[in-house]
Amino acid sequence: MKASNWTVYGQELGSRLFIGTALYPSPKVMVDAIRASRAEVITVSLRRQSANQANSGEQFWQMIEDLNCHLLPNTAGCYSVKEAVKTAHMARELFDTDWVKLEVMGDSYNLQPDPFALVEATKILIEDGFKVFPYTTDDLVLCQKLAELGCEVLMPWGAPIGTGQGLLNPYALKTLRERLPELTLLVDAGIGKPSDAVQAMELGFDGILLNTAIAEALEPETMAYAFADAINAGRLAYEAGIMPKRDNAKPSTPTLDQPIWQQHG
Amino acid sequence: MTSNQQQIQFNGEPLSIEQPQTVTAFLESQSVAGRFIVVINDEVVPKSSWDQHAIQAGDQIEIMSPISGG
Repeated sequence: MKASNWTVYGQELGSRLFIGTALYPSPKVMVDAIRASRAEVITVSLRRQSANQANSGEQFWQMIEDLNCHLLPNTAGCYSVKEAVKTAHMARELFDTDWVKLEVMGDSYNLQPDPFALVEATKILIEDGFKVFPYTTDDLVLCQKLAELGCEVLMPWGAPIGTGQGLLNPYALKTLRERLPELTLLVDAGIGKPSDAVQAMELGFDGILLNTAIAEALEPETMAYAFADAINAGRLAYEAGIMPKRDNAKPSTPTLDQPIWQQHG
Repeated sequence: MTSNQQQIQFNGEPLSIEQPQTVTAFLESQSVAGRFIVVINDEVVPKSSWDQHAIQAGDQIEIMSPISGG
């Protein structure tokens, strides 16, 4: 059984997994893993050609085109509003999309987003007609501010990029889900294993964006299948309605008409 | 260097090219192909204006291409 479809900035999607295109051991492994993941949105980036690498992006571009996915360009490596806005404009021209995964880093050690620059860049890019997917911390007030600016999608981190630590602060993520019910929320970054993704989906997150957990698995294609199934299972569980936790045991086997010697009070 | 040459920066490297020259002519002369965009002095030059846009001395021309990303 498949979980319900969803929409992202008006685009209907079946898969709830966004997958990155970096860090795979080879281009073929990347393609096989992305196909196995059944993802319909892939993240990409851009860079300046160097003198000895003319036309180096062409092979990558051909593979991406063949995958026939929606492209979500990022602004990776940007540490200022100016850099991020400039990169977003270049990405729009290069990839022919107004979607942008907005990354404005504030700390090079843990790649933590700079909340102040993120808000400023988001404001500019929305005014410039972009559909912004901010990579953000899980701070409620920051996320509320981004929503007020017009973001329909927010992508809080589960843990710092590439750490595979899972959801370091489930309480904060749960709070975001409860306080921003109208927003589309994806956990982006920090997912290490399929059960991390299940946890996020069971909290009511709409999707997961990940890269390293699949790309750096011993068998990326197999791991992509695992994540696809996990994300679907987590969403189905959320839609089915998870039972509340209880402090006391409650028998699951009916006790009516038990023999007298099995009745305990 | 002859008098009709001009110095520019191309992908971070100094380059001497003939002038006048449009972006289209420049890209052909440098065999730039595939999926890319042209950025001159930090501004994207849309493809629709490559035929008209004349390169100026001192321009910083960058070719941006797709790469993998997370």
